[in-house]
Amino acid sequence: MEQEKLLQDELFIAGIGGMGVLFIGSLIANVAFNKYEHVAWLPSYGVQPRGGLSECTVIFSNERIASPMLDQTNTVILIDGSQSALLENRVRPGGLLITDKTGIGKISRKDIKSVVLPAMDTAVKTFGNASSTNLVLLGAYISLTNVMPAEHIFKELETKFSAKKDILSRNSMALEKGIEIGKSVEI
Amino acid sequence: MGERIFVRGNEAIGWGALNADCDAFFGYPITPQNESTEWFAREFPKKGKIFVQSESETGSISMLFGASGAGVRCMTSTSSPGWGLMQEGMSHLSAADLPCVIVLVQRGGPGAGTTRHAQTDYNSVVKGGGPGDYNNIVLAPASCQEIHDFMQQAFYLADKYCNPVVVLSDGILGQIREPVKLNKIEFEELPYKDWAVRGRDNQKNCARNFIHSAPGLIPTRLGMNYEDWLVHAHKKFESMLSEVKYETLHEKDSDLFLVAFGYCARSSEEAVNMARKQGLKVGLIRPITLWPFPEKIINEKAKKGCDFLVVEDNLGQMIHDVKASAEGNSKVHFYGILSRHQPNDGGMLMPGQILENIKKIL
Amino acid sequence: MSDRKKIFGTPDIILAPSFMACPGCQHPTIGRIAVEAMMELGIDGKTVAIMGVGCTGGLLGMTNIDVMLPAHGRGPDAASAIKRVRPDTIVWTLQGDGDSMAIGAGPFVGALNRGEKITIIMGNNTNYGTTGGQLSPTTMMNQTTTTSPNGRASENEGYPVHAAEMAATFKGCAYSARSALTSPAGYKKTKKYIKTAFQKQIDNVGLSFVEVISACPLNWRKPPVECLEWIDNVVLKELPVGEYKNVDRIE
Repeated sequence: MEQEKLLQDELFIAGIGGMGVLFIGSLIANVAFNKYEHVAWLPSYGVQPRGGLSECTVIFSNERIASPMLDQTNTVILIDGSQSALLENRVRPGGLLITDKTGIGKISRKDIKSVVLPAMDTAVKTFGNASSTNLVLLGAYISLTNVMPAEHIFKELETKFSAKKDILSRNSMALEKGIEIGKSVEI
Repeated sequence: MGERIFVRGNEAIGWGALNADCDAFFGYPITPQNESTEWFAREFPKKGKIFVQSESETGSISMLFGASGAGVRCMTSTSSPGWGLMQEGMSHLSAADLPCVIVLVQRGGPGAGTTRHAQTDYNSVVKGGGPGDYNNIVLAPASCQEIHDFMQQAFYLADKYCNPVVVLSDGILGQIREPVKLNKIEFEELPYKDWAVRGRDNQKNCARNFIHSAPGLIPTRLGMNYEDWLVHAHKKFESMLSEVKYETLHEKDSDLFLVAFGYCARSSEEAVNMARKQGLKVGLIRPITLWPFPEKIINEKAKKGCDFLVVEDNLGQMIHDVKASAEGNSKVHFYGILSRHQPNDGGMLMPGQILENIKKIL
Repeated sequence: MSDRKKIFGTPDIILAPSFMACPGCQHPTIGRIAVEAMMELGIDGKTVAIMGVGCTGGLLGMTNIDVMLPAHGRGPDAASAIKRVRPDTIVWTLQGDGDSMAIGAGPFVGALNRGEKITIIMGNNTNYGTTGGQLSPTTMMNQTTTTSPNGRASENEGYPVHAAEMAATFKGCAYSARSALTSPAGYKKTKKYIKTAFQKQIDNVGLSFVEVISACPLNWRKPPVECLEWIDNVVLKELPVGEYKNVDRIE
């Protein structure tokens, strides 16, 4: 275990079943597992394999994690912008809300930092469909917050998709696009 | 040995069983513990151990009767509806003094209820749902590491007392992924199971063994009469009381103690941390054994003038044991399943809302 | 529109799609065929249908008839009791292969043994679909499931159950048949068998049983058309289509 104090975070990721909410949660949790002593990942989903709400909490910390069940987290990433009105309350005061632009409702909280990104538009423009929206948002989160080096995530993608080169290249590109978008945002 | 992995609670069951030298798993598919059954289906044959998918949970528990009687460390995992089917089996296993481990990953009941988490089986697990006077030790882990460690503890306790042990998990713990250190825990050596069936000529003294669950009808190794067995059972359960275990937070200077187990213990721990940051004198008593129940610490704190807030994801079950332990000396408040954060079956007891309740009380 | 006559479509008493149906699943089709059979025989008004636990019976939850959903596998027990206390009703179960042949084997044998005048329809997709694709009694040899990850092997998992053949060995069984839905002819045959089964109950002969092979694209990990091919080439070789018993009287 590295001795330095790493930046820690609590992430709540939400979207619709099929958007890959659990996938990006797992990605960052797996990376965190190798670097942090304390990590927790908790999915929440209903019976439907597609459609229905899908949520995931990821916490990586230098201290003991009391509860992976949290009413509010430091950061919330919404892949499905239409849930913004419902889920903006899941951000801690002073925390960060990253939402995809598509279908977004009004965000009324004044005590959080809110970032709206054209992640789905980027995914559609780059790949012709929306399925990599999740990775674009993950990339943006990483570069916005600098919470961990992006190379760790790229490395994890390589390990996971080593046998499927075309999926690997698409996923890496989506992550890269997100990183670029995130770099251009001030919070 | 000592390797560190990142797995869900349901898979930590398997890793723990492996480190406990469990040799056989008999189980049936049921949500939300399928990751457990599937882990055993995948990993046990690789290690030369037995995996059988039974025809139902009555099949599973009856297979445990057999495998345990044959002197082998064996287990099953199930969820609440399956646990219901196992009640007859639990009674028979205790009557026959047979050791085994049953993991129960609770889901909401009653009946088929929901496929997601709850803590609605406390009564059934702790008081027993089958006929007769029997008890079983109940271990309540609250993290993936504890699931792994308590599996080993469970097999040791089962063999030590020749009685089934229940490891009580829930649908949330089953899904949480946390780091688990695969440490094999050393326990004291236990006697050879000379009571087991293995073929008469394979017995040490070539005398046959007869294992049955009718100690009032048929003589046992302990004596001719029903009372002989009842005296033995009484001694057995009395001696198990020494295995009581619990953990506390802020034990010395709290006016109000939350009492919680399983996933609710984690939410409660976070709530206590938040409350302390706001200067509130709140603590936590977390039973690790639900049977034997940690009456003593609750009784002591009650006499010192402390109050309790029982946090459990059901309509009120453990609260009765807390009230009994407090012997009328305390106010015992309740925060239960009707206070979940959302009304569908994904609702949970959350730290922030528990904190609001704490503030209302104090 | 009073001048329009419905000439084809889902029976009106099916109020909504089954809530348990992945794309390409054939369980709702079996349900629909059974409902059509009921309607054509005019018995829907006096029917009490029993849903098994799992995806198979799902359509009944959305159908405008009296329905009960007992515990896993206990369908034949509940059906037997209803028929005994209300002999003027038509009682039938819609169960899956796991519900009927594993945990429900005892109730199944019990009902056959007693010669109950009920109808059992078993949708067979060779796995426990609802819980994620585990081994079931009817899983094919070498078929991979989440609890037979190396393929079903005789050493550990035995051999597939032949439900229709087994039911036919009971004296109290009036009718036992198996069909599949891999062609239009298969659909016609399935409906014919199910109508025959209901007729045995109407005529008070004995227990009637129909096993219908059903595709499960999600857990078989095959596209729907490939599922139908696999049924024709593998499943029906092990479990042939046909009528295994058909009597009009039991002495």
